[in-house]
Amino acid sequence: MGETKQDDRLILREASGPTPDCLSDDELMAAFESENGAGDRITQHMAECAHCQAEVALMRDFHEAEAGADEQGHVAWIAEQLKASFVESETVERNAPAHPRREVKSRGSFLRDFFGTNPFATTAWAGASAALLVAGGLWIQDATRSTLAPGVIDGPQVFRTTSIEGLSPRGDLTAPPESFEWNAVDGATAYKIEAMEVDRSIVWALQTESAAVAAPAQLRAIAVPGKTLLWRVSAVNSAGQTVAISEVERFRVAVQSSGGEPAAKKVR
Amino acid sequence: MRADRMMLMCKQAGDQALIDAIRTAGSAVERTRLINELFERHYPRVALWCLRFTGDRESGRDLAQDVFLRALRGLDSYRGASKFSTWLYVIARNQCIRSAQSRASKPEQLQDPSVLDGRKANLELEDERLEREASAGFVRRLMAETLDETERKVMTLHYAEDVPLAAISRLLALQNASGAKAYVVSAKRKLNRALSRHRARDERERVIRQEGA
Repeated sequence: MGETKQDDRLILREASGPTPDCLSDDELMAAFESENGAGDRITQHMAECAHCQAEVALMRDFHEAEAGADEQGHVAWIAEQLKASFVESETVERNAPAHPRREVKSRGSFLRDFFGTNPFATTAWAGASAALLVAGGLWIQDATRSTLAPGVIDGPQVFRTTSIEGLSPRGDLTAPPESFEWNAVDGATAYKIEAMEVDRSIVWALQTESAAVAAPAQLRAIAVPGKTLLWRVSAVNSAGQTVAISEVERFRVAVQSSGGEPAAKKVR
Repeated sequence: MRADRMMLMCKQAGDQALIDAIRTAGSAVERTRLINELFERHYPRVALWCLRFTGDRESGRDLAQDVFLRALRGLDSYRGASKFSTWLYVIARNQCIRSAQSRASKPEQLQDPSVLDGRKANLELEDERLEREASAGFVRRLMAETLDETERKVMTLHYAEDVPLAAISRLLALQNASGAKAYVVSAKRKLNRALSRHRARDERERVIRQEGA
């Protein structure tokens, strides 16, 4: 019975999921937005594919959804939080010191993160502002409220972070990691850990109150020998603000050598 | 004054015009303002989606922030073939699914609703049928033919994307008592009925072939 149910689930998963013939994101968007048909292939496929039908229907839901009375306050709050997470780059730019300073890192600024690597950013921005924004998107390691250069706004949106460091796992391992560990941060009430592929796509994320967490089986299973995985941890205070974020750490299970070295522990 | 005029124009401009202006912005300040203007138009929509997906506003905020961060980083890849809001939805969808899959080890998300409510026998796809008929491709066609839109959405989100049933109920604003679970149950019933019809038809055709031979 159990196997049958598992088989059912697998079939339903496959039947509900995309196939190689399914529409690409671009085609799904065209199917959603086209009023007069979106081409033979798209039309034909849409007629017989429950998955793509559902995808387009969800696009419509996204556009047409209305917040209920019990949701409106929360939506407004989130929108305000998103607005607040932007730091006026004008202020930053106007007050930027002429020399690089690595101590200042505003937390929660999309634009600061973005302009650090933005292909459209101007040379002037890259020169003067990147000094403030911490070149290369690095997060600061200063553990105290740093002394700011004269003229730099010390407003409520600019946070000095305390430092946090991913302690384990790092480098080459003989087996998939049993746990993730980092140093505790003053003022932090929770930690968010993210494990990523090398392309930075997140494969596992968790929030915890302690400075260590067991590695889940799903992560250990993909940590096959030779595969590099990344992880980082951020500290969050009681107001939900991120107060520190670690460097991205790398680890991998070493490929078994032919000289009789211990093999990586096989999981699943 | 000039900046104010520019912002007034931006507020009246469409998303595409704003994006064009972002790409040709003469300064980082101008670019920042334009991006703010563009994103603020879509905060409520993404906020609602993420709120429903996560079920609490703090998690919804974090998820929405990830969505806009990805949108920000991918803005140069936006080609304008679709509306910006549609493009943003694709980012939101992918981010939500990543979020769901990262939590997919939780038992609640992996349990079959038919197990949860104890109604096993009449909801399963039987072994016999599975062997003969229920290839994924066949079931996929049946789903397209027999399920209604809500059932298709629920099945896709739950089975293909590992989205928890509670999150699906919120996301689709399902108001019935058991939410998405009821749609999974009704979808399975419909699929079983459709499989039965196909099996009966196959049997009739087999008998006819035998009699003809």
